[in-house]
Amino acid sequence: MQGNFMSLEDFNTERQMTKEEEEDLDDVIVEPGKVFIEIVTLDSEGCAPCQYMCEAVKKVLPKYGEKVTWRESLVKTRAGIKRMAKLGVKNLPAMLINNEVVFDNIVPAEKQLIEEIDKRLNI
Amino acid sequence: MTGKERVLKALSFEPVDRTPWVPYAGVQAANLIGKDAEEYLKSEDNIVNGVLKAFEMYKPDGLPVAFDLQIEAEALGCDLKWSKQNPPAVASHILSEKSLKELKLPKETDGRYPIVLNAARRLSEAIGDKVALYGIICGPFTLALHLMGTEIFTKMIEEPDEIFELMEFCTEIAKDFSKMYSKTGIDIIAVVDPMTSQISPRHFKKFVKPYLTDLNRAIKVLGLKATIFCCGDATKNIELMCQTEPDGIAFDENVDLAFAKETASKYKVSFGGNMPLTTIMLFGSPVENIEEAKKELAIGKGLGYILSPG
Repeated sequence: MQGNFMSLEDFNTERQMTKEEEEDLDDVIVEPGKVFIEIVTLDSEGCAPCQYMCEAVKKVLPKYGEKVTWRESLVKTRAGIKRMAKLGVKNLPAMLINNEVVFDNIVPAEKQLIEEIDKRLNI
Repeated sequence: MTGKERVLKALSFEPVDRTPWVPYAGVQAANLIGKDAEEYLKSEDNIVNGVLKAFEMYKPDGLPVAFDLQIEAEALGCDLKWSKQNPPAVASHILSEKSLKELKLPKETDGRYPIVLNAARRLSEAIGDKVALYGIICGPFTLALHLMGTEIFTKMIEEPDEIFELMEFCTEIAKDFSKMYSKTGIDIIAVVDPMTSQISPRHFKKFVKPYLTDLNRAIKVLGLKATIFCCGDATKNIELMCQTEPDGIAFDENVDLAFAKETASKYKVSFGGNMPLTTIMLFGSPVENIEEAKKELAIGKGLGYILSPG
């Protein structure tokens, strides 16, 4: 991995942004009866805790079909760092459910995760 | 004082002439020789050349041989997903296909064991008198995750005996790999167990502490220094990590250095490792990195401190 910026100041200016990073990672408006899970990671392909937090979510997805959607926000991108600051997330990985931090640096057991999802789906 | 002496003294909690500097140049060293992560971690020559280049460029007191926590899992039959910029990730968990009883301890000739062990031998001969070399092994709890997947979190609650058995097996693998490393001339074993940051202190005490203590003791019997590395917010487990009898602990930027210094010093355990990886090391300029290092040196300096990245 190599740094692409000469300084943090450069990093924060628009001219250093790549196309891929231009899209901001905003809150998702959650429709009633649905749940949105966001995992803020360093990179689930290079960080075991990040990988297993993502795996925990992928494992329960089939149970819910279209009711549950998820995304991984990588902090290796400018958008990811902005998102982390906006959410006030201090530790990686962190799992948000409906834009609220629920599992901070703890990979939940399947039952715990299902409980948190069901609660929000009013099941 | 050579860099090697400096690191080993810090790990013995003895005075040093200046704070030792140990950049954990893992797969990043691939960049230094124009290779990608996969080309690097699959080649003894590339690892040797990358570490030698890191030695030349970073003027370190200590260096790891190869930073890849998937070597043991791969040798046991887990599939890996390779990428160009990161170490590989475990893509399949062998315990979903086989039972624990069917798994055998890997031999020196299995998987990529010979690649890293031969690289360690060559590096010990080339620079082992100047720098302290770290043999990296996957910590028992992280290896257990690799073998079983996230089901482990449910079983820790519902079927703990099964997890005790799995942890015992993973600890044996770690002891065995440490023994193989001990014959290569390296000085230190780094037990890297990032998944331990993802469990509560209660679970750490029950499922990790006895096994890490056993492993650290076994590493010391081999005549090597034992260090344990954890990433993420390990604050809650720092004291427990110290109680596993290591010579040193390392953690990342989520742990407050002053807090870790106070805790580790109580146990006469060396400490270090929290230069911020993304905000400063990946995105910052050289000047910003120097400023950060100065700030950390001011907090950490003294007995047992090793300056290193998170």
